[in-house]
Amino acid sequence: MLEQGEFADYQESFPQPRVTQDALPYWEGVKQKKLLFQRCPACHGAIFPPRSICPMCDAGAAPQWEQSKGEGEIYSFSVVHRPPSAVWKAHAPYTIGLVRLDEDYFLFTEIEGKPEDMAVGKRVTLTFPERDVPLPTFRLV
Amino acid sequence: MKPLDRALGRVAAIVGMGDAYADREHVKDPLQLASEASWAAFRDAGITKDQIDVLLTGRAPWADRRPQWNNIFASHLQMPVRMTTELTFHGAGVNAMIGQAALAVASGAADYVLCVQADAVELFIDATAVGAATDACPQFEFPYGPTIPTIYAQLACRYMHEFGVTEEDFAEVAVQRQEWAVHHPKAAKRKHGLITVDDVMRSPYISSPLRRWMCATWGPGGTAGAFIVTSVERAARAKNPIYIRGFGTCTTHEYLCERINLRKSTVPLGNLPAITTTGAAHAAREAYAMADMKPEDMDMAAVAGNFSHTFLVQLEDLGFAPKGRAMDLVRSGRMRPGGDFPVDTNGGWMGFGQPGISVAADSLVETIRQLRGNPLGLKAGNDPKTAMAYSAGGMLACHSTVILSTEKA
Ligand SMILES: [Zn+2]
Repeated sequence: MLEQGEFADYQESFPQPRVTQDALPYWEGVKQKKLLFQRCPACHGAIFPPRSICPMCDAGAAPQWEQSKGEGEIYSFSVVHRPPSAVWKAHAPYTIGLVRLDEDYFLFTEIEGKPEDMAVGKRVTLTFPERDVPLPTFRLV
Repeated sequence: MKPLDRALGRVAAIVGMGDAYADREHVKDPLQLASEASWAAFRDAGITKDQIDVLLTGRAPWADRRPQWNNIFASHLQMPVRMTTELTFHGAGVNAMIGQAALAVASGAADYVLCVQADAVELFIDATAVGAATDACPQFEFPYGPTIPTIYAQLACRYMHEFGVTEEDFAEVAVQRQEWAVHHPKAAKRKHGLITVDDVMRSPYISSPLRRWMCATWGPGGTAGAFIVTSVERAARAKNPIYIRGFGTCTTHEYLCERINLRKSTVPLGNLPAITTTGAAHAAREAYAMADMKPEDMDMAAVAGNFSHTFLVQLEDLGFAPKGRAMDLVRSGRMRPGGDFPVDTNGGWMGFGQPGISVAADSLVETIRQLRGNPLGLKAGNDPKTAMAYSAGGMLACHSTVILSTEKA
């Protein structure tokens, strides 16, 4: 039985991302250890998550893919002490946060490093750890 | 966005209310809970089910997730209606039933609308199936292993960073919610008794900075709330009408990764990018404008604080405290038992608990019971006549407000 504050998810393996058509190039990039994002040719805004039409302006333009330098800073973070399911237990505690990339968009991602070293504003850099499910993560600089 | 017509704050009233409860000794499923609450509401309104023109529900209960649950329930009551639909923008949809019912009455589509919501997560399903899998983005969030508290904790982190709020402040919120919960016979955390800041600070981290006592809990086993909405003219013949003086709604996104990348908005969310102001501010402004009232005119409130920090952010967005200053209101003691601005008098989502999606109906039930002077738990000490009831859903995503009053506009 769950205790207060626990909202577990029943998973027997690490979850695979539910890939959308808009994001196919993103996941192709991940396979090659590259972090891709979109930019609007009209308003020049960085777009994430990916879409087929820029939602940030009224031009209705098709976004173009660019590669991120993978550098940014911690915007927010939380150290997961009660993981969502059994497969995550061995990995805990781990830190999940919002990272603001230097290209000025945000990723919800894992941040590697000691929990006590995490702080808003700290610089982080992209990494692709060897995992069952390949994902872009970040580590403290 | 076009402002809502202010005349809508003078057209409809709740003339019947019913509630129902279940636990391990008295097991009831959502159909049973909704039936019991609806029949209580029919009797309270002095009508029969044949007078219902429109049936509204929130989204299907966790404990019975059949699509078109609203239609299943209409069929279950053998109650043909002109129209039935689910309002499915998370928990906000449950609160929004009241405003949508007022619209149906104002348009002439209905004389009587039945709004009902039930759920019973702990009694019928493996609660481990309810979690971030539904509310985290399945592509860009869920694969990283967050829980629901992990996603909400991003706001907690920013709220502490931007406004200097501390974990001890969050602990004080939990202590005060529990002061109400211990008096409510159905509250899930009643059994734990009163707690101290030290108790909260000793409870383990779930996802930092959120400790166990700073989070909502499951339970009670099952609840339902049913509400009969009709015109103010018909309400004049009712014995205990509660007038719908204002309502507002707003949804800004689905997943947090979408919300943080939002750079402009037709509703005010502060200087974007930011997450410390939510669409609740817009939903509240609409309701106040319709009611021609201010936050100070509210005698009490029911909010949707599933965590200590969301309770604080909601108080600010609803206009009860300046941004970043809700702890001043907490420390003033005005929201505690005996205070002149009681809030979440059943213990709220943290103390009463979340039986499922019906938690938003429980807040409406508690508000109406207090306005009528017959709460199941502790009575508000200030004889409230006008109240704000708010519900939220999704990851800071969906918001609904309704201003209820014993006094006609
Ligand atoms: Zn654009």
